[in-house]
Amino acid sequence: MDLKNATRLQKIRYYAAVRWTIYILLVFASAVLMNVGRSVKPIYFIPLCICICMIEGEYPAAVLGGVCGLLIDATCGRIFGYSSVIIIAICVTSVLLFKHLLFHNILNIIWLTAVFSSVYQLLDYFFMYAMWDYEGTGYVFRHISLPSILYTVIASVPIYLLVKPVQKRFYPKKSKIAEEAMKL
Amino acid sequence: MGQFFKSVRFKIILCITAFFLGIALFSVTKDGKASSSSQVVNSILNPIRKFSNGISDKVSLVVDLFINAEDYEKENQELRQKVAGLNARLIEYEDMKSEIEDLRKFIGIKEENEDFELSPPCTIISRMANDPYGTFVIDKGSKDGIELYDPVVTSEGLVGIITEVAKSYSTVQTILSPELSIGGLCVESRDTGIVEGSLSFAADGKCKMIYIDKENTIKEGDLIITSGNSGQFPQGYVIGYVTETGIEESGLNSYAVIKPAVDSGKINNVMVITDFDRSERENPITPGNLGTAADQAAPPEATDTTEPTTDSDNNSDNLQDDPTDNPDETEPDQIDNETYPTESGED
Repeated sequence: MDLKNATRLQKIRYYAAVRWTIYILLVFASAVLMNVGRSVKPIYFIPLCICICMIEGEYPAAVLGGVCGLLIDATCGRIFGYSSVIIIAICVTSVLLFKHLLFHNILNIIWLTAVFSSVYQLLDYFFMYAMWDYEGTGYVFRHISLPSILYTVIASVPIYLLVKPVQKRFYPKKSKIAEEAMKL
Repeated sequence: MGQFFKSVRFKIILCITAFFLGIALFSVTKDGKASSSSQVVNSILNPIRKFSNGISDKVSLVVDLFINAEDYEKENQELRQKVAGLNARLIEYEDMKSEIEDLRKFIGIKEENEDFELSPPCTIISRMANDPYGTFVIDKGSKDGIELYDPVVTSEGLVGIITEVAKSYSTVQTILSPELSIGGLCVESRDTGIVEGSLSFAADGKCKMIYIDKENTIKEGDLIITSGNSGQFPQGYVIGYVTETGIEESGLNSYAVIKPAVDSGKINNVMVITDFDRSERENPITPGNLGTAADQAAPPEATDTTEPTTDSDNNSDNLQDDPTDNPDETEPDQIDNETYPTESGED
């Protein structure tokens, strides 16, 4: 595609297509990583969703959250759709926070990941283990939930470093308002 | 020139030559054995030789590399390709070997248990992330005749149960899960109980047999098999070996910690028993009369395989009866049920 002669709308569409293709590839890469090995693993989807939601709108974020949630359910053996509900909430909240309150920087990604992954893991611990009053649920909390939160927070750094350049390169620059253009 | 041959220097040189010639002649007469003089000289010279030889080797190697670098590069590439090809063949060979071994074992299951209807060998395609019970997914589903709650086995013993079936895949819950209850029977002592997973034991890859009569004689190393009471699991299939025994907190029953015969984390292939004869076996189960799994499974450590006591023999017909001698001390509805619970997780 000849971007130099393309209209602004064409550019926006082209960038969106490339951006979302890369996002989808990253989502599937996360699904593959979640299936590798038997040790405790981070929930890669949480920081990935937060990073993507930094600049995207509410609707794409909700769809992304739903898909990622289903993938988490498939890889972690949860009831299909359970994680989708939580991840959709996480994605939409992230969009709103980044739109109105937070700057797009790595620190915000880290603490948001810490909060959201803690919420996800605590809900998971409660619904899957504690609620059924199984003997020794503390083991799951200490040896699975907590390490998973920690690993997810650590994983948020490389994920941010992967997503940020994509957004920087393939997100159309904001169009200038008439007054700004006049000044130029 | 004539001066030199007449000089003292020439004579001295001649003497030296003669001396060495003498040494040479002496050495010849030693018939291959090193003379003491040569030993002395050689022992002094050897480190120097070694050093100089090393240097010359390296120099010649560098020169050789410099001259023949292109040839070596080509040869290296060819060899690399050959090695890669051989490695690929080796991997293929190892895969086929392990597949054939698995198939042989599975044929053994069928031969020993003619009443079993088995699915085709199933390969584990994924394991659930962050799951303490080792739940996994196999590549066979309803189109291969697999149904919900079908037992999953290997030739070594029971692995678990099918908890989700799709057309082309199924999810297997292992016996480490507390959601699974299996009627268990100790081969040596004839004591019965319910084998259940427990979060605290799942970490070590173990499960627990509960509701065992307090007056049991179960000991470490005893073999636990399925009792087949409910018809959910085939009778006499190996579950595992007792590693520890104790009294429940309530003080009413005993429990035994069991190391499953199959380490679900290390297997790659399993089989699903899609159907089996649910009627009582013709031959009662005794330590010497077990199926393939029991024959092939080896206890974790040397076990005492003494014959069951007289008391045990009296209980040999208990397989279809209440598993405990004293039902008052247990919860009968739980003991008789060897079931997979409802989705709510309740027994």
